[in-house]
Amino acid sequence: MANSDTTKGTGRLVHLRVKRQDSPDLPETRRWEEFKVPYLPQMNIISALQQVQKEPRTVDGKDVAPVVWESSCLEEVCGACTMVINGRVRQACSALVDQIAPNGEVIQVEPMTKFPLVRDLIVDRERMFQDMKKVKAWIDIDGTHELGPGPRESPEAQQERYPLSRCMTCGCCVEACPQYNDSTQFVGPFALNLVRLFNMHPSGALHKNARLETVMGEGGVQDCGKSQNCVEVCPKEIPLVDSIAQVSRDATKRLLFGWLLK
Amino acid sequence: MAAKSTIRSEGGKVRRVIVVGGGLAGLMTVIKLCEAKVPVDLISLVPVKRSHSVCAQGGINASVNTKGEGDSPQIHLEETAYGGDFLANQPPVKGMAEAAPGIVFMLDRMGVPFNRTPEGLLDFRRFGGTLFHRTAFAGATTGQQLLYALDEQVRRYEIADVVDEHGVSIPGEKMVRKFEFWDFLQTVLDDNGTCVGCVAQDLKTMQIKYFQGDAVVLATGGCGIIFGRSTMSVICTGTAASSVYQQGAVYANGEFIQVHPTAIPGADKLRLISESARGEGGRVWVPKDAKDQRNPKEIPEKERDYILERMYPGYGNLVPRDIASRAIFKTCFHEKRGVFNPKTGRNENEVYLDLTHKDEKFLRSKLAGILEIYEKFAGTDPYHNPMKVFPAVHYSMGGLWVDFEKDARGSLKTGSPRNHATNIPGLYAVGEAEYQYHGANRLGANSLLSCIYAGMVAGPSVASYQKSIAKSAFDLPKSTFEKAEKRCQEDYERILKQNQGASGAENPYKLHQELGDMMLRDVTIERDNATLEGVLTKISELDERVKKVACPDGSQRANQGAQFVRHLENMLVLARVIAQGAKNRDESRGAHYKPAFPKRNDADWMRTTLAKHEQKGAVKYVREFDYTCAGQSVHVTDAVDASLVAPRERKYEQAGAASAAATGKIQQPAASEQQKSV
Amino acid sequence: MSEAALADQSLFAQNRRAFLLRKLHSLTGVAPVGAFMVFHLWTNAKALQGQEPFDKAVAEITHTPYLAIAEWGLILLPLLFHAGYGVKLALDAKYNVSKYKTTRNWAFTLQRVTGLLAFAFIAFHLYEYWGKKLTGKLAPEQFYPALCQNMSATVKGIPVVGLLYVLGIAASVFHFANGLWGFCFSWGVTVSRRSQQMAAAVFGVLGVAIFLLGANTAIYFATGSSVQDMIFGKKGGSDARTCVDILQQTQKPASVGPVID
Ligand SMILES: Cc1cc2nc3c(=O)[nH]c(=O)nc-3n(C[C@H](O)[C@H](O)[C@H](O)COP(=O)(O)OP(=O)(O)OC[C@H]3O[C@@H](n4cnc5c(N)ncnc54)[C@H](O)[C@@H]3O)c2cc1C
Ligand code: HEM
Ligand code: SF4
Ligand code: SF4
Ligand code: FES
Repeated sequence: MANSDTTKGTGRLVHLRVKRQDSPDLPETRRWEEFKVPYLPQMNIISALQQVQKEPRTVDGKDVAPVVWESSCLEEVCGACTMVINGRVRQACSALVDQIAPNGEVIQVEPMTKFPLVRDLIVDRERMFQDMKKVKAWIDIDGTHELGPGPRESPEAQQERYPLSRCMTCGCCVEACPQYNDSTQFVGPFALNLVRLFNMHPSGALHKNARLETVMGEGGVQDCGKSQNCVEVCPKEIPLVDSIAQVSRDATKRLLFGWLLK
Repeated sequence: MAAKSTIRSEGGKVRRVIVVGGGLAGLMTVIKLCEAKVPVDLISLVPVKRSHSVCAQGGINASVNTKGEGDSPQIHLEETAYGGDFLANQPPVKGMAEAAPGIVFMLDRMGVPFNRTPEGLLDFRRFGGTLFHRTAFAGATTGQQLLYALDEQVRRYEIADVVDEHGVSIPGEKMVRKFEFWDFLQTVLDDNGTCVGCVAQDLKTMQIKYFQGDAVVLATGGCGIIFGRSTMSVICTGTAASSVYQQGAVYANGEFIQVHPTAIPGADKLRLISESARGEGGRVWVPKDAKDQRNPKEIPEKERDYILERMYPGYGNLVPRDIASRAIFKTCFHEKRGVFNPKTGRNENEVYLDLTHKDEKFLRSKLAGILEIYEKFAGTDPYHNPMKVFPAVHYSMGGLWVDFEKDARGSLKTGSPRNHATNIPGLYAVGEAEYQYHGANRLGANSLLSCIYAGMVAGPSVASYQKSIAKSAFDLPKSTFEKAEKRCQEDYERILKQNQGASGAENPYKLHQELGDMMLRDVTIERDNATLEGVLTKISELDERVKKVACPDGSQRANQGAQFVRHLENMLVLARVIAQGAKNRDESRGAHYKPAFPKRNDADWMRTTLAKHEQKGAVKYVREFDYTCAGQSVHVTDAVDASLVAPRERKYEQAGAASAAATGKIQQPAASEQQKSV
Repeated sequence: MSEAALADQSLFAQNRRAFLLRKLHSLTGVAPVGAFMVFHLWTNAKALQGQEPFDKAVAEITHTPYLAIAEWGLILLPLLFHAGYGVKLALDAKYNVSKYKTTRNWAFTLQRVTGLLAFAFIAFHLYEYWGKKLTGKLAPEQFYPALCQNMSATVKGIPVVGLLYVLGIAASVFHFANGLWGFCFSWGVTVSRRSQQMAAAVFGVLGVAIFLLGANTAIYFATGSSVQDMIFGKKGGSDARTCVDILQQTQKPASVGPVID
């Protein structure tokens, strides 16, 4: 299959400016490095970084270690490659050079700021996965043995649930959320969205209250400051604000009236 | 004599099993092990939620027959065997087809947002190689949705305590411990060659560490990156499978590499446009006039050549992938009738995949996931413009050889420790990393199913293996493990140090590109012995040059360079298995097509390719071998167990040909009993 | 599992303290603090009619039974709580409006900035009048003349104090109106994006109205004429003493207020 002609260059160069640091405990190694790599058709930031790997030399002609970053699917569904590109958090694999630097502008690439740095563009998003445990983001099934089909659901309900279920834990929403930082334990918009998602499911709803309780403590839904940045940056266009509002409403109801029903 | 407790070793340690890989196959195995009360260490290259399974788009097969078409597991079995050109052993396929409805219902109970019918039941769509609506789907991101569902269930076990046989929680011990961002390096083999754990490397700190385990299950997925660019994730290098192959595991049917007919060409990845696009009515065409420069929307119906519908009226756009890919390849390559590009003045390697005749709302509810990908990466709106696509490497039917045990009905015997066992005792394999279910060509939407089914089978199988062993891995002397760990440490240091500063040192990424370009060009849709000879020579050359690689990164932290060098070395080993297997097999079957031998040759080649590692640079293909499982010796041959559906020639020109036996359209000849193992 | 989580369902359960506190913060912002602010601005508007009606309103309040309890319990403590907790919130956030310049992110940032401004403004304002009243330095009848005097003071012809008041009122009112929007969101009144947009419009209009109400009084004290006076011309006829009268008594008629050059 010889469509490898797509790898041939055109003479045009792509100019990257990358924020690097060797390790979290070596802040003195924090630096900006610039690279120019040959343009390829339909190039995105990952393919640009891949070119850097092949020729890790800065514009000043210095040979350096290749930049490191996380990626997996390259089609914006795994959530691995989140970075801050030109000041905005997004997936590097779907950041097309033609769109962000059509005339060879410098493209600035930085790691996310809300998570502990690992190296260069890699950060550790473990906090997100921990918070998914905290909010009980699952359906409590009895087991995987045969128990027949699940509850029936209308196509409309499915169409409402499905978009919420596409969250790929990429971290864009929490990177942009001013309330998600070291001074709060805020679980973040994605986790609140999961609370709504599982509370909507007929069997998930059986544990709705337990799930709500998890977001009424420290770091819960009350920490949302309503800036709505999350919904602006979510690459999967998940209606995060609707989810937060819904969870807020349910938690408020539970606080005000829950004890009456005890 | 089996060990006393399956929870604690003699020395009082919690006995664990290791699962490497957290795609669908790995996660399902973990869940089944936990349900069998076996604690697990789960090791994965990436956070399991980012495993490659997340990319699967189209759906998962199960003959639930909601549409009243008379679909049944028997038909599913037949069509899978037929689509796979009769290279798959049929008992596991039967087990899978029968379990499929239950699996989809289980996923449904886990909360997967499957699309629904107006009555609130699961909706099903059509996929390749069948005329039935058999594929359950959640929009066009089904793999993602299934992976998330299993991931969520595993998370429950991450907070569940290990409970001893008296029902008392063991403090500090959780059922599942996850090790994410860890690279599997090797298995640890004891003096008898039994697998008792593995060595892995933390990709953040680069620490190399051994893990003890009563068994190791490899669920490390496919190896598409050997072909440079494919529809697969960048982590699918096949490194783990290659590594255990080099430790003695048999690799089966490596030459069967599926090329998917419809992907978006790209510089870094060939992004898939799922078969579901055709399942929902998409049509593949090129202009009849090869030099037609018009906008495709202006080309009238009768001036279009709907190639698949013309060549295969029976199944049309939904012929199996090998057939569709060859048809497109022929059109573009041999007939030079790919879409004409006035800018370059030539016919590009592209055909139209057209959905524009469908209602936009319908498309959004069923295919939004993939159409978004097209819109994002190709930059045109597929709701109103035909997409431009070309075939791409997609799936590896081959993989680690694994065993099965038949029951009286000819299906899988549940709980047998032989199921999914590799020939290294204590080492199991599931998912795309193994070869079991798809023969010479996988049908669409059967892989997600086979991955989950494999996990459901492997869980109990490993649990009974664990019961059978006399001594737990946790009671073995430390030295066994430390030796293995030291070997891996030394190998890592070799990679870091070799050729540093040497003149003429090679860059691993460039070598990989050379390998990929060649494999993509010469070992995919059409294969030719002379060319393959050249490929093997080139691989030998790369084997030499890879020794000259200097690791581009000297850091002791997140050193992706060193990791890549290791993966590259392992990719080269598998590349040879694939290429040489292809060269040996002088016939055409499923995805393996040699124009010089255009027919299937059952007399000589209805057999499994079994590759054994000799040394770097040499593969030994064997016809039979013996191995030990749970203390019992098993003799294995390369004969295919076709006891359930008699082999016949594939004829997708005729509607219903793939299911003719089960639907009674042809007489099923007396099934030829071809025992695979004794 | 869920049994344990559900064990304590009481309103004040430990595991819900964070939520409850934040709800109290939100509630105190709306009422009594917010409600009082509106009431206060409304009462103050009586000033436009001259000193006597204003004094009457002030007297009415001053002679409310249990005034001290009401002032402390219903206004000051809730305000202190809201303000105290609010300062913590304002300091906790990691602002990024320079990167993500959306309306709502601006509103979020301004909510905190105006909270801090309001904090300073209210402290100053309370000290100036309520504090002096408590310490006996200023009798309620002296409020009106004092207001006229203070607020009309100019620096290089600009009535700075008056302007400060207009700004302080603007900050507080923005904070209140946007706060109401937030209140509706976090108490689950406006769940859909549409209802949120509608709420934004309603509270926007309400905010502008309250601001005009408050600012008008400040302008009146600072310049001697209210906005409607400036537009429609002064209507004579009332016997009540006005700011202009007061200032004319104490100052040379040429300039309106005292000059602090
Ligand atoms: C674009 C695309 C679309 C597809 N669509 C469909 C579809 O619609 N229907 C269908 O049935 N099939 C589909 N498939 C095929 C299917 O997705 C895969 O075959 C299947 O997901 C493989 O699952 P798995 O569990 O075997 O492995 P994977 O999901 O690939 O997981 C492998 C796991 O192993 C880990 N791993 C790998 N190497 C190492 C190592 N060295 N050390 C530690 N861990 C390691 C990884 O981190 C990962 O967790 C599609 C495939 C592609 C590429
Ligand atoms: C004029 C006096 C004040 C009034 C009328 C007032 C009113 C309000 C109202 C109605 C809310 C909305 C509650 C909610 O979010 O649900 C609010 C929120 C808030 N207030 Fe105040 N407030 C005042 C003073 C202050 C002060 C002095 C501060 C200190 C900085 C402050 C800080 C905050 C903060 C940070 C919020 C944001 C809550 C959020 O959006 O998450 N407020 N206020
Ligand atoms: S709306 Fe809430 S969760 Fe979303 S970014 Fe703003 S503060 Fe964060
Ligand atoms: S909600 Fe959206 S932005 Fe946030 S993690 Fe999920 S996909 Fe990413
Ligand atoms: S690599 Fe998966 S989202 Fe970019």
